[in-house]
Amino acid sequence: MADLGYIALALAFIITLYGLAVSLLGGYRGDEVLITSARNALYVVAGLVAISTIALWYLFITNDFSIEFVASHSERSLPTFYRFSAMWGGQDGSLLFWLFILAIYSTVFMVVEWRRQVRRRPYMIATLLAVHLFFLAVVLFAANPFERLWVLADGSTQAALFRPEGASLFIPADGMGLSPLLQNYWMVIHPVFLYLGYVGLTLPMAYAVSGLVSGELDNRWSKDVRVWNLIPWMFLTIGIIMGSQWAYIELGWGGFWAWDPVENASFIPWLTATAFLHSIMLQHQRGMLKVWNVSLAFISFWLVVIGTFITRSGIIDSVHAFALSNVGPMFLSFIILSFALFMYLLWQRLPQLQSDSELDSMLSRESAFLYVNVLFIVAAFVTLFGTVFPIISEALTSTKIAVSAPYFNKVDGPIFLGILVLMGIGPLLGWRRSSSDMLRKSLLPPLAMALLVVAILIMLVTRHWLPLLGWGLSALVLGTILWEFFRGAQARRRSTGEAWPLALLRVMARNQRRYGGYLVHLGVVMITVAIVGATSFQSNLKTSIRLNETVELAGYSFTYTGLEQEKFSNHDAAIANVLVKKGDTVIGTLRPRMNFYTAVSGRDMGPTTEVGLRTNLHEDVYVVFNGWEQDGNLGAFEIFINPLMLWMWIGGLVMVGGTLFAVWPMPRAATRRVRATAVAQPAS
Amino acid sequence: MNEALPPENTPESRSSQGKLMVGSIAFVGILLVAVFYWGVLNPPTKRPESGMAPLFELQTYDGDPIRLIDYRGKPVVVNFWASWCLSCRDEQPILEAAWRKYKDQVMFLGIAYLDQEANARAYMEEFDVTYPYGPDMGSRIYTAYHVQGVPETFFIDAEGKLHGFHVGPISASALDERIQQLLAVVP
Amino acid sequence: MTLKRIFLALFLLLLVAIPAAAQGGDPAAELQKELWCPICQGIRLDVCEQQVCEQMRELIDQELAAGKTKEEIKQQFIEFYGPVVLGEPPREGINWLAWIVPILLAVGGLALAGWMTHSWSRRSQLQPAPDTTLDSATEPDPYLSQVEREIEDL
Repeated sequence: MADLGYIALALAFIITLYGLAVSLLGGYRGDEVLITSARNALYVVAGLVAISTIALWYLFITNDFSIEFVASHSERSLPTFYRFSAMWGGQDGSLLFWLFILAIYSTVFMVVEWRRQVRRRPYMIATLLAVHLFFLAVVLFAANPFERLWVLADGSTQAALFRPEGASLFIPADGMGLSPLLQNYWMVIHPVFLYLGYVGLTLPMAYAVSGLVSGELDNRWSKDVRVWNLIPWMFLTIGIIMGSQWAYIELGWGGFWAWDPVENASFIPWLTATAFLHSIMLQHQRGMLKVWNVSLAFISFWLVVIGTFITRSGIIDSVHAFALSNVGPMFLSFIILSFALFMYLLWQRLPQLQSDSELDSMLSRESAFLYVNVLFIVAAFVTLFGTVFPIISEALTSTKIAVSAPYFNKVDGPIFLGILVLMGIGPLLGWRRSSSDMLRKSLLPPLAMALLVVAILIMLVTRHWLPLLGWGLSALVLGTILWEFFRGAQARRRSTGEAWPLALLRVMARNQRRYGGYLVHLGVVMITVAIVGATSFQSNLKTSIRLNETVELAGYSFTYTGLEQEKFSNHDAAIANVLVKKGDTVIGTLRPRMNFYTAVSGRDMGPTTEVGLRTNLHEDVYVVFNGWEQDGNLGAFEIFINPLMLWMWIGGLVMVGGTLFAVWPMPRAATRRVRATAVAQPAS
Repeated sequence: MNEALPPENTPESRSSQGKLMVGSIAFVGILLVAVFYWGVLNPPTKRPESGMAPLFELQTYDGDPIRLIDYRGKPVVVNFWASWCLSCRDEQPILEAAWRKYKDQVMFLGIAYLDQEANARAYMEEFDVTYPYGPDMGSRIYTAYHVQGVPETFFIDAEGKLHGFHVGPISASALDERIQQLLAVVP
Repeated sequence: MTLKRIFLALFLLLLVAIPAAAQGGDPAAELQKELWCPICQGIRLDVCEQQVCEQMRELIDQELAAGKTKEEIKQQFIEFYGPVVLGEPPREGINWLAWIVPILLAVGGLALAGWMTHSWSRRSQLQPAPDTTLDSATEPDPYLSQVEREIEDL
């Protein structure tokens, strides 16, 4: 099976080279036979990558420990479920998995776009194959998951594809096991979504680059690329939110986002992709920002590669960083080459990328989009800058510094507040120009709502400026969204006489993109409310509790009622029972646990904690069990009360729902599109 | 974000705003790549292995100043440890035994990483350590040697040159072998 | 306009209320929230499970008992454990870069966007503005027509 996987990869590499050459030649000559052949080459490569991925899964399922990657990331007692996810538990497998997702995306993409994009398609194929080529090269030459373990003549072991001289195959009796932190269902599923998001950002890039090469630079792509950006963007959103859910329940420090390099690597492209999906609307509506949109599509992809490079190359101290290998230099070469190539193409096409129209007024939706774009980009680069700053600082001062939450909260926080302000005002502005009088009129209800909320908060909840500002702006955005829904439904009611609910549904269905966008904004508001609540009003207590004794925190009482032990296939669990009461009402028994993974191979894995959690719309009761003494008569706990946390996950769902609503194909929208192309010509 | 054109521009020329735009993207991109390039050449995990050992000074918990340069002519074994580090306990007796054996030929230095005096002293007294040890204020020595965690041990020959390092607790035989290598270098 | 007065009153209330926000509490707990684990990735001292952090928390209690102020203890920790414990680049020397660059980026970016919108809109003032009032006059509701127009644009 390992041979099959390896040979499939090698074949895929060769066919990729062929396809790349043929697609470029075909595009240059306009030879349809060559272009079709290149497309077929892409499909074959995708098939081969799939075979090789399945081969690696097979090796995991069958416990083939002669394979180094399997031996170091799995073990006999590992539940089958986790044997699938063990593939992305290490660098080599995760790169192959990346390639697998790229192959799936590319196939779907070309099937859909083949007929639609006649001019672009040879270069779309070429771009996709170039990305394949790079990842195939990395997997084949620097991080091959199919390497076998060999015992050399001198008794040492080595991982290699082919038998080194005088060596014999080494099959360990058992594997080293999967990192316990990764043995959690969120960890199984969230990387999949992250990869779906990450890798999917290749598609807008392929759109942009193929446009630059083919010279098809009109505004049509702004409509066609939309779904290829929104879907990966949605997956990336899901991945980031699931990742923070994992951090929340598995790492046991009461937080959900640590701003560590791995998290930042997923957040930075999310920011630029978000900027892109706003700025592309300007090109769509007004034919503006052409250079900027093409660049953003590329930059998002580029930042994905950079993010992978940062976390995989070991240039930054990170728990996730890997030992030095050729992966870092290969990624860096790709980063430099792709950037140079893109800049060259952009420079060549610059004369053809001129705006169709200009801004009519400083007070217009266009200018709001422009400002919000700037803020997203600044946030992305500031986050990237902070992530790599330790390298710069240590090089110049030779003193270790840390750049984590205090820094990012201070520099990104104000930017996000600025984005919230624009989320509140932007939707109220019309395209082209708004009179300040009209803005004042439409801003009045949301602003009144925001001020009312702030007044209520001051009277009942807090006088701290930070939550007041955060929640106040959230209320402003919420007010704007509600006001927009109300005005839309009201206007429709007035002209059709439909009842309120029907009018609202109809007006939403007739303009999915607009109202889908507002739903996404609504999700963002919920998440903001949760973040502000959980960070400003968290209470925590680190304490040891004697058996059957009680501690109190924020109106709750916690009684330690006992310790249980449980055995699982590859770990033992110690489970503390903590009875939680609010006043005299029993809330329930929480069962925070510590898992002790049996280190078969002598690798010390350390215990992991899993929190006991009771969640409701108001606040989370979150108990971490940190150990015990005296046969369980004394338990060490850390207790958190995290207000409003549930809204974070609800907000995530709403964001996803809104995105799906915006892209969901509706029969009526299709006929509309035909008319749209005729109307969309700019007035000037 | 600035590709609006003055109307007088012909469609075939590059607008100045377009140039500004491409220029700034290129500028930021090149800066980033330069930082990454430097980072790849000097990763934090790349400890100094050869060449002159980075010099340092410290003050032992007893108040005696110690300077690496003063030990020229004698090999030095520099051990990074901490009282809160569990695996340091595995190697501490080995280090002390080696020190007692090679006292006259080799210098041993213990550098406490992120450790407080009371804990550090208690720990060293527990193992009856007799070679000098002191705190690494602000982790400067730790950073200069690109240490990744404790324990780690660096081997410096009589000429002040580094002869590699050992990550994690060291075994008696490995330590002995390293010291023999150091002793083979005669200034 | 009464609405304006209400806004003004609310706004004044805010101005009065915000400085009134009181601070104060347990200095040990505050310090633990302001310092960071020197060997972890982004873990605050008060929630850190490492031995080092345990020792650092004990040290905070000892020093507070010895009568040192929060600021003194913080300085002592920076000197002893290094600026890592701040969780952010210290504001000195080359590390100022970490603070200046984001501000420059934000100010520069916004200024650029402002300049662009300004010059664009000024230029377009010279050209005849597209008449947006005309079609809205023929429609029953200006807002609906705006929404409908945007739908058409799709």
